[in-house]
Amino acid sequence: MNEAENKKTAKILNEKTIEQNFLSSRDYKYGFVTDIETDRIPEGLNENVIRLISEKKKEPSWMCEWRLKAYRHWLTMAEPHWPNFEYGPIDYQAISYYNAPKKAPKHKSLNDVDPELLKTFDKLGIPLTEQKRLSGVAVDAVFDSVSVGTTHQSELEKVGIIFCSMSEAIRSHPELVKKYLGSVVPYSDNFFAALNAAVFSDGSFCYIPRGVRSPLELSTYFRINAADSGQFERTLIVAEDNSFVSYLEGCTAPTRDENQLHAAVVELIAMDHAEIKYSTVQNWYSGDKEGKGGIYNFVTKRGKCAGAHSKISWTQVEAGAAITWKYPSCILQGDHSIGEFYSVALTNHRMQADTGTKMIHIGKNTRSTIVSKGISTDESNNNYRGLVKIMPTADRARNYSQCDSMLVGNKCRANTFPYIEVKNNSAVLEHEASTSKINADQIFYLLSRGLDMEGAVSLIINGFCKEVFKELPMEFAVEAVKLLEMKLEGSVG
Amino acid sequence: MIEIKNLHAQVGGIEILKGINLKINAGEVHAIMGPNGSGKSTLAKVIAGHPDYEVTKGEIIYDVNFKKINILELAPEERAREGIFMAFQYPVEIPGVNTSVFLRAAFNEICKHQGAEEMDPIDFDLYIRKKMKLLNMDDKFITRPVNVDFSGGEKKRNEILQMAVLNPRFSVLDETDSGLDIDSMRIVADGVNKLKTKDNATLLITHYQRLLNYIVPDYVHILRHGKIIKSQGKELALEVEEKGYDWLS
Amino acid sequence: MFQTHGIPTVKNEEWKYTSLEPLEKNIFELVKDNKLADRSALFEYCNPQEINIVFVNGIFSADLSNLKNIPSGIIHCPLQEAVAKDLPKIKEFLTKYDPSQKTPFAALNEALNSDGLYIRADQNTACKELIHIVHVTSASRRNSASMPRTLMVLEKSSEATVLESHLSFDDKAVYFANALTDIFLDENATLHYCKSQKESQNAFHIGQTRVWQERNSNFDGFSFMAGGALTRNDLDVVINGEGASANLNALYNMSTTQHVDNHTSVDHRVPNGTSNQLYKGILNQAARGVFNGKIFVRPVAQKTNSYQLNKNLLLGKDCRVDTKPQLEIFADDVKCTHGATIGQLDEDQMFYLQTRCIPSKIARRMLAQGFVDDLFSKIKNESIHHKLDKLVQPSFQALE
Repeated sequence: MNEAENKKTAKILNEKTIEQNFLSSRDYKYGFVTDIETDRIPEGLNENVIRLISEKKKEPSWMCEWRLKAYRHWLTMAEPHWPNFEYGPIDYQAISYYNAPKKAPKHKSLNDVDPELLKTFDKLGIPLTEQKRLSGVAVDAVFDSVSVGTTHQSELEKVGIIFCSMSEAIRSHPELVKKYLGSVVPYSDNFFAALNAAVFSDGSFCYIPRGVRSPLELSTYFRINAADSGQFERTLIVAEDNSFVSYLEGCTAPTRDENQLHAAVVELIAMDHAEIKYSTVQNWYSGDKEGKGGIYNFVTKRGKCAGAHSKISWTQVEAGAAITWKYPSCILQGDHSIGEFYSVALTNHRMQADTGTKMIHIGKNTRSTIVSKGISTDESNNNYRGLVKIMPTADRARNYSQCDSMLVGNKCRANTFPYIEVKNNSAVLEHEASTSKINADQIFYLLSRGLDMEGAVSLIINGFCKEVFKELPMEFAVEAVKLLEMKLEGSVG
Repeated sequence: MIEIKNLHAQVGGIEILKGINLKINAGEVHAIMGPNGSGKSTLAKVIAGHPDYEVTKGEIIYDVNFKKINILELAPEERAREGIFMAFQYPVEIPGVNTSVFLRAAFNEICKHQGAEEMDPIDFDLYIRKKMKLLNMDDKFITRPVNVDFSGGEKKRNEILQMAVLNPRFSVLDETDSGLDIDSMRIVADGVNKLKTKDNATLLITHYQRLLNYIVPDYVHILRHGKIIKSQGKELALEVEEKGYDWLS
Repeated sequence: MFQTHGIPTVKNEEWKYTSLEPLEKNIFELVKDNKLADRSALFEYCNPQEINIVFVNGIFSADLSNLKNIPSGIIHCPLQEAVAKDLPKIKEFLTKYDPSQKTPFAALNEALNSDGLYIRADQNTACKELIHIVHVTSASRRNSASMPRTLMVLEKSSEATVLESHLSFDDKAVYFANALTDIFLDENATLHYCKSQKESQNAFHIGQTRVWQERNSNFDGFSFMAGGALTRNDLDVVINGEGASANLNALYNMSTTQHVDNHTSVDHRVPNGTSNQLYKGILNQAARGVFNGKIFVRPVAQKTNSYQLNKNLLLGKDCRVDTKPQLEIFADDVKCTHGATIGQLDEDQMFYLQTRCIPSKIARRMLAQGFVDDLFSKIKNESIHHKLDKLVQPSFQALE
């Protein structure tokens, strides 16, 4: 099947799953729990727990050592509270750091995976088996602490692309992992990155060799299922010279009254003329109307444009999680490299989001673009925080930033905190930001043309976010729109 | 007065002009027509000396005091002082810089260059008002910052005012008719006609034949893919209007 | 309070981009001497015919001041006297601010200032004359410190124009000026206020102006900063009455290794307020500019219109700029925009001027001057306009 056909089929399949999953339900559709036997390390965190995780994953000793170093460093760090939101103390000893479905040792064929798990991913709209799988997208499915399967691996192998779970990569490609793991986000980077480095249980690894354009979209689907556990995954993508990959990430979790911690790390490395496009649709459980429950989404995502003319583009639709704290960033080291950040962050109920990006210009003629759209409704708190830094070496750097916030309802908050630091006089930067209410004239106009309130609002929000949605792969864009519509239901009236 | 010889120019590594040859004598009006992307505006910018355009081959020979010089060796302001004027397709807005202050500075640069005495603000005010009267323009043009909050038509008229004040020998009008309604076009064309003498020459760059009803050219040249593919009298413009550009290639 | 908190460090978010280490290295001493050696330079800057209230080293000088033309309806006296006599509005005003929000430098000023100025415009007074408050530091004493302190009260429906200048005529003088100005605008009052700072190239200037606005009042503010080795200028406005509007415009023009840090905060506490900010900076050589603007819109402050823009022109090879325009919005029916631009002279404008015979050196000056004039055109008072223009000219002449 050629690429175009692949895409078409994927789109049809996705639209179908969207219908099933979004249109049929007004509530959080993914709130169900899969009843499955698990191999679980009891709550608590100490060096033995870390050794046990490493042992269970049959890791080489260097990996275990790295984890322990990270853990020891973590012990010296304090939980950050500078973002503009409040959260109660997290008891790191009350979290189970390893939860794997018992019947999930790596299977030769995805058809052999525990049917209960396959059913779960079917229900999430991510069928994994040979017969049903999405044809244009290769999926690595992560359930709690482990990857339960990766589709299309053989197809990708043919062009030399390595796409597998992190655990597998540590075993079968240790030289690559050793070289790049922690090279963009060192374990000492911040509190949650250090914690992740110590306890990460799985995640995805992709390696695109020189000159290869990935024929498929690569994607990872993250599912938290177990109670009192956290998910700590790590993703590493390396794109060699002249390669291209588009990577997608989706996340959901069951409805629970307790907060659960998700502390992930994503590292991207792009060499000369390589391009990585990383898209996220984040829909963790966000808690109920009163703010009870929901995922704490504390994530460190960073890409390094190591090579000349390389490009890293982040696109995110953040619509879930009780608290989101993430700044997908680009280190623009190679001359002429390009960093992009496109974001839609929607908060409702009592969600809190503090998200944005950092663009660090080091190389000459580096360019960055930031487009951030925040929508806050109900009693939520939505913050954009960004840093654009032009280092003395970055001659003729360019940045354009646009941060718009829309307020729907009079109990929500929207804040903008852009930091711009320029240490080179040939830089040209432009930053624009606005905050306003949803436009009443536009709503009235649409109502007078026969649309109902929700239809009108959804149309306006769509227009507001268009610049970001157009960066998403087609099938994701459709999903994102439906997701926002669902989230906004009941917020306007 | 001016002769363009085998002119090749590129921008951002892409060759736009691929060997232009054109000779214009004093007292003549020439028009260059061509479809979008044929290189018309590039030619205007190269004549004026825009730094983004790189000349890779050829020369532009211009008569200065009975001597022939290659103007490609001159900075933009040096060309302007020798009497080369370009009316911009998109005149630039300069907030905070008053039009009459700006024009007096420009005018006095020419005086200095010609060894003449510079004009003081009061004399210059009289001089500029005379020019404005000639072109039927009101005071707001000189009391406001350069081109700021001017309509498209006003900006183009301001270009013609500058032409009148600086009194060039060779003028290039880059799509001066674009975006003008019929009244503004008549005013602009009137201005150009009034400024025409036997000692100066004009090069009109235009997309449509419309302007040529008001400013009648002596020669019409068709530019396509960076080369002049046909030159003829004013009747060529009408032919192009009727048949388009495709029959020429 | 200053003793408990001491001098803030860069770890303090409010001082993130400005290190006070150079200030700490010096020991400053308050002086009691208000003699000025060079009177001619002073009178070249401020017209002796105008209303001038002159302080030398922080101490009032009757000798240099001109109080003859102060119209009726304008009351002025030493601040300490006004407090002692408990003049109307004084107590009311002095209790408006939350003491815990006070900056260490404001606390220092209040503790050490001995000769403050109190100005009041009575109800319905419309004072057309410029009131010029001049703070000049004489070069005769090394490492002197002064604590300029002003309190202005504009009663209902009054109007006044005030220029507050901070100067020195010796660019080598090392001193520390820590200024604090409080402005209270009652209903319908209008104040045209300009703070002009041209301290010595080696001076430290830390200044704060706090503005409190009641219903339908109008604050038309302009800040000009061109001197000082290190300048920190805070302008904090509280919109506390519906329909009030505030304009905060500023120009900072720095060269050599000068450092300027501008902080603004506009706190919209009531509905229907308007605020506009335009801060422009020109940085030459290795100068460093900082801008941090905050707009707060409280939950009740519906229908707020707030605009903020910071534009920086980088002309120096080693200049630096850090800008942080921030919005904190807690109300939904608002329109707030902010922006920042950083760049060089526009290449298209340069080319346009060159095609009109103007050589690049003059074109650069013209465009830099245009960048400034666009802003100066917002100053309504001719005399202020003229004074600032004179202060800024030398820097254009120096442009290459």
